[in-house]
Order: sequence, then C-alpha cells, then structure tokens
Amino acid sequence: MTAQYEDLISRLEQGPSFLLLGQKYLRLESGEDPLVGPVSRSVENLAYAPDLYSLLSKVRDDTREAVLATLARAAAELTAPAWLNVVLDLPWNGVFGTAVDSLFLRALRNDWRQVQPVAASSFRPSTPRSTNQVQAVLLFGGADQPPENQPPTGRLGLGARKVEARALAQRLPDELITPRGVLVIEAWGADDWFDSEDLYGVLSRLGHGQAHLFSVGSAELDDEFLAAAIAEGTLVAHAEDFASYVEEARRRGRLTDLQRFDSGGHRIRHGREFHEVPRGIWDAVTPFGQPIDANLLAAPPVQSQELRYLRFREFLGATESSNIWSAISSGLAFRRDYEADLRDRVDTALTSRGLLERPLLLEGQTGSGKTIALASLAYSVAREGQHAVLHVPRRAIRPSFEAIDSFCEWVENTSIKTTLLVWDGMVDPDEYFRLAKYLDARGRKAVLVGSCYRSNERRTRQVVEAPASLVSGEMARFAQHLESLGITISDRDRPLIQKDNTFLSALYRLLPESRGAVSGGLVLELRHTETALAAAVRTSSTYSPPSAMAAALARAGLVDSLTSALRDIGESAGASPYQGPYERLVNVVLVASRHGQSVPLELALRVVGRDGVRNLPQLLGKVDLIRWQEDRGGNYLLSARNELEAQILVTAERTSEESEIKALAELLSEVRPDSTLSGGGEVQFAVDLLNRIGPQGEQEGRFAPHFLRIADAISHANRASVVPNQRLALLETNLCRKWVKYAQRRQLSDANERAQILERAEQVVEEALATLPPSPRPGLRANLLVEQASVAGSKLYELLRSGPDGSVPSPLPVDLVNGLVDRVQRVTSDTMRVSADKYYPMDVLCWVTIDVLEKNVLPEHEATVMLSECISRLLLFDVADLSEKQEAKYNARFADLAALARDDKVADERLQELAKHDEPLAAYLYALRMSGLLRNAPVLAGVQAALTHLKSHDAAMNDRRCLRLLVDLFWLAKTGHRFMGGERLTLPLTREDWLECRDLADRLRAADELSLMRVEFMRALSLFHLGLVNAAYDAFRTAEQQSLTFRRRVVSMYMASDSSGSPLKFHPVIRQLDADQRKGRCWVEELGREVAFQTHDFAISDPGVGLALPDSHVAFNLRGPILEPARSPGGRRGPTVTSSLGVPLPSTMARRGRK
Amino acid sequence: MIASARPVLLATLSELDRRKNELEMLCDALTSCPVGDPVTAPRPVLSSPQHGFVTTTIWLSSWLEEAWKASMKYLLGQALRVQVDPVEAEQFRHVLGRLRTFFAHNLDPSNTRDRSTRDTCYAWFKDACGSRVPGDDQWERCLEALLESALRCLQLAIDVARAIEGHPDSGTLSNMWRDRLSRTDVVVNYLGELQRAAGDLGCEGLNLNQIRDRYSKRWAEALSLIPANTDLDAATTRHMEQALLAETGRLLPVTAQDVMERLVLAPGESVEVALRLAQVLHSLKPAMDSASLLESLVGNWGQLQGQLGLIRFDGHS
Repeated sequence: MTAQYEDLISRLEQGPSFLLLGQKYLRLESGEDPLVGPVSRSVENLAYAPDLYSLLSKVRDDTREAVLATLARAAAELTAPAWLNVVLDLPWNGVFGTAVDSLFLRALRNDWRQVQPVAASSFRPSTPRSTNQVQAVLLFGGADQPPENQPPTGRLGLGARKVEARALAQRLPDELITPRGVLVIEAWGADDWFDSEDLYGVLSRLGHGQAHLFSVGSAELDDEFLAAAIAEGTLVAHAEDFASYVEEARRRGRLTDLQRFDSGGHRIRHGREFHEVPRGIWDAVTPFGQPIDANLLAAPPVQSQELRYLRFREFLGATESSNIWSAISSGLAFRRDYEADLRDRVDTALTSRGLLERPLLLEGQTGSGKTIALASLAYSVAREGQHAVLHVPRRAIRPSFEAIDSFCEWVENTSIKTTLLVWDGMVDPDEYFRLAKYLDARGRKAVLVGSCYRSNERRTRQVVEAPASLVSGEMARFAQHLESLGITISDRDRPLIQKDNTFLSALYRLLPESRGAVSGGLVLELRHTETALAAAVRTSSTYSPPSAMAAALARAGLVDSLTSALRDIGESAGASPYQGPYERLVNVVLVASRHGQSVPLELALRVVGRDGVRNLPQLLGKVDLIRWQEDRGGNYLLSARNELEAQILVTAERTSEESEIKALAELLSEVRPDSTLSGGGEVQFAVDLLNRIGPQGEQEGRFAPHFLRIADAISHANRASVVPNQRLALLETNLCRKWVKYAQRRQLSDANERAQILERAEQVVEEALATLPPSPRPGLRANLLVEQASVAGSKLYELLRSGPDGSVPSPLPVDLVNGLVDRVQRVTSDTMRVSADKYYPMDVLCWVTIDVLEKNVLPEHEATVMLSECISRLLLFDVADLSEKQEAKYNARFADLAALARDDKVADERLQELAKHDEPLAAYLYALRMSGLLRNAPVLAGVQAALTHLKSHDAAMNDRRCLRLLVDLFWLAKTGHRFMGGERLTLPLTREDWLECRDLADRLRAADELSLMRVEFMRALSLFHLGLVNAAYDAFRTAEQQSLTFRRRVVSMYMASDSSGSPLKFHPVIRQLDADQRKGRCWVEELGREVAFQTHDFAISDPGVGLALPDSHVAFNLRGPILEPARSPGGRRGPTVTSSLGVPLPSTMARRGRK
Repeated sequence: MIASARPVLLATLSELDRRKNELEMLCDALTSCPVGDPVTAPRPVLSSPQHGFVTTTIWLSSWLEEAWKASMKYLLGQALRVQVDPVEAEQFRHVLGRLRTFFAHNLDPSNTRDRSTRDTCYAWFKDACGSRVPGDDQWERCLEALLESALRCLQLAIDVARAIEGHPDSGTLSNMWRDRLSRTDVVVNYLGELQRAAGDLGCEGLNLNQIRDRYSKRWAEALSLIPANTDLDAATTRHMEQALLAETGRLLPVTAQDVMERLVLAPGESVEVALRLAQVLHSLKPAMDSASLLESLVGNWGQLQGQLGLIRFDGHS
C-alpha cells in the first residue's frame, strides 16, 4: 500500500475524475485488435500492418471512405470486454479517447448516463464535467462521426489532426481537472497517435499525483517524457491494469458510495408499491434537486458509539447541504421544537390540498437550523410513503419550474396523490410564490415549503419561525441528544448555550476529532467570555485571526515561511493583507460565504491565479476553513462551512468594508458567462450574491454607496467575456439605476454625473435587448424591458428635480418629459404583453405616473390621460395572481392613484370640460367614479348607472380603457363579481346579455392587446351559452394558450347556466378513457359532443366506456368545459348560484385583502 | 395433464442433451478446451409440472449460468459479429437468473432489487401461461416455454460457434474463446493451485474444497479482467494466497474499540490497519495477552508511522 495508491481511490471517490483511453484498448483483453482483420480486408492491396493504427496511416485517400465505413461497421458488432465495463462503470466526469472506433462510447452509455461525443475543439458542452451527461472526447475523431469529425488516414492527415487533438486534450489541465481532480490513463502505449510528447503537454500542467498511468510496460517506462513526468511527481505509473485496481478497491469497500457510484434505477415508494422515476424526469430534476427515493430511505447501517461520534462531528463540519441524508437517517440531527409545528402545517396542507395554497415559509436567521429542519421534513414525509417528495437545496443551479412540473405530473400519473416540494432556497418569498403560481396554473397537486431569512414585514399564518436560540425545553432535549452521542455538557454551561445563537454552529469546532478515551465519554467545557463560535474560531488550532491564517498555511507547508506570509500585515493601513494566493482564496471565499454564497471553483481560481494553488486540496484539508461541494453537473463550489461561521471569521478578521467591497468587486469582475442564455453557474453566482447585497437584498442600505463600483465590476466581466451576457447587463443596469436613486436622495453627486450613469444604464439595457436571441421563455426579455422602463422613469425623476434645490426646472423641457412618459407607457405595455409576471411593469408605470402627477408638470388633459391609463391597467389585475409583497404594493399604489384622481379630476365640472376635448376619457372617469371602483367600494346602483353611462357614449365603446371598465361593470352587474373573480358562479344571463357579452369581447379584442385572455374566455362563455359550442371550444383553446401563467387557470370559475342563474344539467356517457383511467371524455347528448371529465370527481371505482354518469353540471375554467357531478348549491364544490335579481356587491377591497 | 404433455417435454429435454453434446464438440474442436465445468445439479424431475418447473429452472441455471457461463457469455457477445441476433437469448439468460432467485431465495418486497426480480418473473409467467401467478393447470405451459427458450438459447450459441468456425478471423475468435476459458476453473485447476499455495503457507489442513467453492466465482471474475500480457499464473497465486490469509487470520484478544482507545484513533481504515498489525504481532508472539498486545501495538504503530512518513489511511498523504 502506498500513499499514492490510496490517494487515487480518494480522488476517484471525490472527483472530478477523467479517463484517457489509449489506442491499445481493444488489444488489452486478448492481445489482438479485433478490428485489424475486417479493416485489412476492406480494400484490396492494403499494405500489411500489425495493428489498426499503423494500418490507417497507410490508407490512400481513394480508399479512405470504404476503410472507415468498414471500421465503423466492425466496431458496432463488437461487445465490450469485461475490463472495459468495469472501468467505464465509474461515474467519470469525462472520457478522452485516442482510439477512433465507437465501442467505448457505446459501453459508456447506460441507464443513468448519456454520452455527449466531442470531436472538434469548436464545440463546448454546456456541462463539461457532468457525470450523467458525460462528454466523450474523440481526440482523433471517430469512424462513425460526421465526415468533418472522422479520423485521419495517411501521415499528412494525422499531422493535421494532431493540432486538434492537442487543443482538445489541453482542456483537461486548463478547464476540467481542477486542482482536486485526477486523470487515469489506461491502454496507452508508446506507439499511440497521441504520443508521449503530447501527453507530457497535458501532464506538465497538472499537480502532484494528479495523473495515473496503468498497464505500464517497459517501453513506456523508458520514454523520456514519461520518465520526466514521473520524476516531477505529476504521473504515477502502475504495472497493474486499472480494472483490477478498481475491483480490488471495491472488494475493500471503496468506490462504492451510493450517491456517487450507484446510479441505477430510482424508485419512489408509495405504500407497498414502488414507482420507477423515468430517466428523463430524474435527469431533469437532479441537477438542482433530490427526489427522496427508496435508496435514500434505506435503513442506515448499525454503528458503534465511536463511529456515531465521528459521523456526528463530520455532519457538523460539513457544509449545509452535503452529507445530510445519512445524518438524518442515522438520527444525528437534533430536532428543534418548531419542526413539530412545521410538520403539522405540512400534514394539513398535504391532506387538504387545494389549489391556490400559498407556499409555507420557514423563516429564521442564519444558524437557526432551517436547512436540517427542511431536510428532516422531506425525509420523514417520504419515509411514510404516502407522498412523493422533492427536496431542492440551496445551490448555484436554480430549479427549473418545467422540470418540477414534469416530476409532479409523473407523480400524479402514478397512484401518488400529492407531491411535497421542499425548496430550501433562502430566496425572496416571491420566488416561492412564482413557483406555486406556475404549478397552480397547470393544476398540479403540490405543497410547497420554502425557507427565507427572518423579516419583520411578514407575519402571516403561512410562516413558521425558526428561533435562533434554543427555547424552553429544547435545552434539556439537546443535552440528552448529545449524551446519546457520548458528549456531556456541564450544567454550568447550559444557560450560556441557551442564550448563544452561535452554539450549534460552534459545536463542530468545540469537539475534538477523536473522543480519545471513548469508554469514558467526552465532557465539553465552554468558555464564558464570548460567543461559542467566536471562542471556537479563536482557539481553533488552525485559525486565530488575523495572522494565524498565515501561520496555519505555513504549518501546512503552503507558504514558504511565516515571515513572508506575514510580510505586509500591518505594514500599511488599508492595504490588503491577503497577498499570497492561498490567503486571497480564503479571503474571497469567506467574504462570499458570509453572504450565503458558494464560489464556483473556476471563478475562485481565476481570482487568485490558477498556477499558485496547485495543492488546493491539501490546503483545504489542513486549514479546515473552506469546504468543497460538487453538484450533479460536475460543477465545484467553494464555501465556508456555513454562513454564520463565515460571518464570525470575517468579523474577527476585522475586514474593513473597503476590503470586503474590494474582494466582492474582484470576484464579480472575474465572472465569465458560458455560452448559454442563462450564462451558467458563475452568472448565477453573481445574481445570487446581488440578491443579498444588491438593490433587492436585505443589506441594500449597507452596500448602496458601492453599487456603482459593483456595476463597474460586472461591466468589466461582461466586456471580458467572449459573448456578453444579458443577465449581467441586467444586473449592471439595475445597479446603476439604484445607485443614481441612492445618490439623488442623499445629494451625493451632481446631476450631471447621475444623468451620465442613467445614460450608461440605458445604453447597456438597449444593447442587451438588441442582442438577446429569440427564446421561447420571455422572462429575461421581460426583465430587461422592465429595467428599460425603470431607467426611463428614473430619468424622468431626475429631470423633474433638475431645477435649483431639486425643484422642477424652468422652463420645463416638455418634449423630453412627454417622450419619457410615452416611453414608459409603451415599454410597460410591451412588457405586460410578454411577461409571465405582469405586475412589475405595472408597478413601474404606477410610480412614474404618481411622480409625474405629484409634480404637476403635465397639462391637465395629458395628466388625466396618464392617470386613467394607469388605473385602467391596474384594474386588469386579479389580486389572487399576486404575491403578498406585490399585493401590498398594489393596494398602496391603487390608493395613491385613487387619491390623485379624487383630488379634482373627476369632479362633474371638470369632466364636463374634459368631455369637450376627450369624450371617452370623460366617460371613463365618470363611470369609474359612479361605480365606486375608484374607492374600491362598488355599489350595484352605481355600477348600473356607470354601465348605462358608458353604453350611451359611442366613442367610449371603442376606447380600450372604457372597454376594460365595461367588462368589469358588465360582470359586476350580472354576477356580483368582477370577471373571473369567483368560483363556480352560475350565470344568470339572458340571450341578449350573452350577445352583448360577445359584442363586448369582440370590441375589446380589437382595442386592447393586454386583455386577450379575458376576451377569449368571455367569447368562449358567450358562444357556449348561445349554442355555438364548436366555436366556443375554439375560443377556449385560445384562452388556454393565453393563460399559461395565470394562477387561477384550472379553477372552475363558472357553471353552464340558464338565464335564471340555475346550473344546467347534462347526461354524459363515457366515450373514451385514458390508459390510467383517471380522466377521459364523455358524450353529452345535450351538447352533441364530447366533454372532458375526471373519474375521481364522480367517485367511480370501475369506469368503462359506455357507462352513463350521474346528472352533471358543466364547469368552465381557462382550459375549457369540464363535467362535474351535479352538486347542491352552496355545498363543498357546489355551484354558487347568482340570480338575475342581483346580489349585493362585495367590496373589491375586501377581495383584494387576504382571506 | 402432465401425463399427456410429458412426451413433448421429454423430447425437448432430449433435444437439449443433443445440442449440449454438439456445442461441447464444437468448443473442443475450436479451442481444445472443455466448453465449461460438468453440470452437477440433478436433472429435472418432471413428476409434477410445478415441481418440474422449479427443478428445471435450477438445473438450467446451474448449467448455462454457472458451469458454462464463460462460454455462453463469450458466444452471445460475439453474435453480432457473426450476424446473429442475440437479444432473445440474452433476455432468456436474464430471466433464468431472476427465476432462480425467485425460487431459491426469500425475497423482501420492500427491497427494490427483490421487487424488480418479482416483477420480472410475474411478467414472464404472464407471457408464458397467461397468468402472473400460474395455477395448477398453467405450470406445464410455463415448463414448456422454459425448455423451449433454453433450447433456442443453446441453438443460438451453436449458431455462433459454427459462424466463428467459418469466419475469416476464425483463428482470432477461437483464441479469444480459449483465452476466456483459460481464466476459469474450466481450464485452471483452482483446487490444485490452492493446494500449492496452502502448502507454501503451511496450512494444508484447511478444507480447501470449501475455500475453492467459496472463492471460485470471485477468482474467475478477477482473472477475467486482467490483460492478455499479464502473468496469469502469478495473478492466480496472488488471489489464492490472499484468500488463504483472509481465512487463517488469528482471533485477537483485543477489539477495534480497544485499539481506537489506546492509539487514539477515530473509526476508519487506520483502525483496520492497526488490527492487522496486531494480528502480525500476535502471530509472532501468540502468548501475549490483551494488555501486552496493546502495549506492543502502541510501540510498533508509532515506529511504523515514523518509518512510513505521513501516510494516513484515510487516503490522504
């Protein structure tokens, strides 16, 4: 056993690991290359050669095609030898081959892994280190690849291809292996096309022991380049073959870690049944989340007390998201009191799952145990086997809503009723709401639990609070928990622990690596002078800031001498003491970690310089400050153990705000986007970091003075990248705009500078929009448009305060003001049309409108037009579609605008005057006032009067504001609710009413692009009730397409009714059933066509074609008509009968408020 | 029912015997090696359909999946190369293995692998007789299907062997077949090699037949991986000796917990290494009691750590 022999196993276990397979690989098993025979017979007169590659180098151009075709065909008929299957069964992060046949590619493909062939340096896979989408690099091309990637024949061809082979191979040291990874070389011989000189070019850029060459013979050992690499320590040579090495390691229990090595089928348990998750769904979800499958729920092995102690300490020392499942299953995690409350809430939600549930949020400050609590929740619910569970940890890769939707859909198509989604994202609550809305719109039966930082703003029933310190009985339970692990806390320390919110984080550093005298247990003695974590880090053997970091590095042998490491500390105030690459690395990682962000490895290496940190794994192993994390895409991240410890360390280091900003700006300026639209992990890092310290983050106040500097760093990053990234441009624009706002409020810079910054922001966002490629997902375009409108609004804000002492300038540049107002209106309208979240552009329009009107700079008529348009658009919103934060803003904006309107703009005499110039506007404002909508208190008489008033003005019937209002007034008058506002409402509309409804819809369709969904739903309802059922279905289809992001999309809003408001009865017969018999279509004789139904609605145990269903109603949601059993009005899921006599109108404000 | 069906079944059995002989001769002609080990499992007893099915499953499995495993795997692996489609035969081999597990082991329905075994068998029964759980009158159809599938599988192997004979690369392909067999008990005399190793280690008194039976599958798998140019004899001896060392380790008067406590070690591979060292020390001085063994271990452990430098047995250096 040698250190290097064992080190290879460790490197293979932790990854990233790469395989270079040489041209001898088909000769290894039997000594003969099975392709030589077929290839030598493929054409006549091919000169004899003992091996395939000598043969290929003698092929003439005129026979090349035939030879390669034979080679490809013969290789396709081969079966992989046993050793190759053993080798390729490992979860490689990439396989490089110098052979030109496809057998190893085929052997690489399996149930859990797809293969991405790469034969040209012009192509770069988006996840280059992915293990389940592994790249197979064909250095000399492949016989079955497209013509441009086929292997060379003849000496000239080989010479030309070598350049490409070298370029591809250089990716190994430059981009892929990282200081932690390993390169295994097997079946390579001195006669390989990729010769020893080429190989040395790769090896010379690796660190100590990072390459291992197997099946080495004397010819290889005698080679001068390989001998040099061995002497330099980068290459380790093994006489044995790699497959035997792997099998030997496995026999000893190594290379068997389930999570990394057993990537076979994955099953979700439901009761006694197991459902295999389809590979496509598993692969789509696992880059960002973990479905809790049967493997994770397997009973943990029995452990000795000593091993439990060790595992407990490892668990405490790991990063927040790693190693968590085995710790939870082994009972190592301490259960906080609040977890019981959380579980009760989740159980209730899972049992009574209905649509439109708000996400449940677990909130608390750093170090309060949220991550463990949420993982424990996911584990315990999955273990009971009644629900599917998907856990999404806090990672650089943002969850894909589409993938989650597919997972939930698959779950529902099995016998499992509900999915529990546990997203420990620590993101803004609006993000959870967006996901819930997305899933609601698709009718998914999912309960969502999220995590967020503690906020004083939210105190709703959907929040569970995680107290930072141990409360009431927790201390006693915690002491018992530690006792069960052989750790005793003295009574003297208990009050200290109970008060100290850092204790849980500190525990790792307080516990020794080994319990030592194991039979006696361990008694923990705490220092009482400072917080546990601060004391722990101060007394830690490896760290005692500020100079001990350097001392630790010196002890680890990573800096030449302590003196040189300490050279600059204290010498000059303000100068960074982090001179050496290791110190800089630790510094930037800690600074990012204190804001909850892990740093992508490549980014960190770029900041500190790759060549300076070849021994990074040793550093991290010995200094014990920074952890690695690997995601399923093979991306590596560096972070502190947890956020709280990073905060304490950075504080203890007395890092000045200046040096912190400098480190953050340095990091951001080195971000490099990949070629995807999202920009990849580094751009996501920038986005996530700015979510904490940027304009939307909770530390905005602290960092606002530095926004411009951060924007400059991002600008530098985007300019340095090959393809500028639009997300970075969005960040830069937003930071510039927010800095201007900050500077304006505090009068920190002159107006000219602020104007220049806004010009720059405008230019950046316009360039980003111009270069943004078309995408099926409009999110980024919409965000850029919102930012563009906001910049225009900010310019307006600046302009209106550009006079002396911040007053309105005189004379006012009217054209400029009008131009900016027009721009805001136009861009926000465009955005609302394309955006999934329409509120953000609306809010921009609101604050710009309010600001302009408050400054009183527009002529009366223009001001009124602007106000009316804004109110008219606001009234298009349904508050159920808004998050809590948006809803609060909505109500505040509405109140402000209503106040502005009420001032004097809607007084009778003003409206009479206005009508002379702009009749529709006057009619609109009059109707708005009469109806009570402006006060959020509609009254039936007012609504009727307003309706009559609008209808009496022909001009109003073609004005989009009036038409929008007419729709609301019409439905308020007929049903007592705004359009699409209720649930299972009957429709007491006469034929004339329906004709009017259809006419209204047609008019609105012509006038207003923002009302398309409402228009089509109205048309569909009216056509259905007018007996034009086929046309109604067409309209429903259009409405469905328009409603993809509408939260109430699958809510049954209306019932097919007669003119008295009674629900119509139908008599359906099953005509078609889906394979799983969960849904189907019925023939409905009254309609003369099929209508959809769901079997569980009718509680049929054995549905069959031809079976007559009981009397039914037809309900309408945005996906079309659906049959429901005829339930009694007023009961659960029964119709809400509205009669033509009219019902009292509810206050819209009440409906806007939370139920 | 079995009485009327028996002639058909017996005829299929007889045909299997004929084909078996044919493949044995072909292998001998092409490789000069036996096609596999002798089949020692008893021939199936067809006294009742259900019992007949179970005994046939076990017999076929021990023949095709154990005794002839290397040859069957090789021949099916070469099928595409000689333009024969091996899919049905490979599926049959998979199902045969599952059926054997189904009948010979207690399956845990909560275990995903066992669940999968059951599902595979249920699906096969359904195909064979129309029911996932064959009734009394359905077992005969299952038995018939099983024997016919086995016959087709064997016929396919024969087709491949004949195609190898006529292939332009016949010599290479035959050599490869021989090479596969030459790593197994079919050619290598595992027991003889084991006896030789045991003699060298001075432990002839061991029940070597038992050790051979316990380890032979592992040895065959390990030897199947090594490259052609490796010294096969030396590799075989190493495996034998490693097995003998594992079998003859002394019972120690100390436990891992004693070692962890005394050497202040956390659980891990270092504890295993320390225990192995204790075994060596105990072998050298068998009279040592636990206290003196621990004392000796402390001294030697420290000395070895010093000599070996910074090796840590958790894999870091």
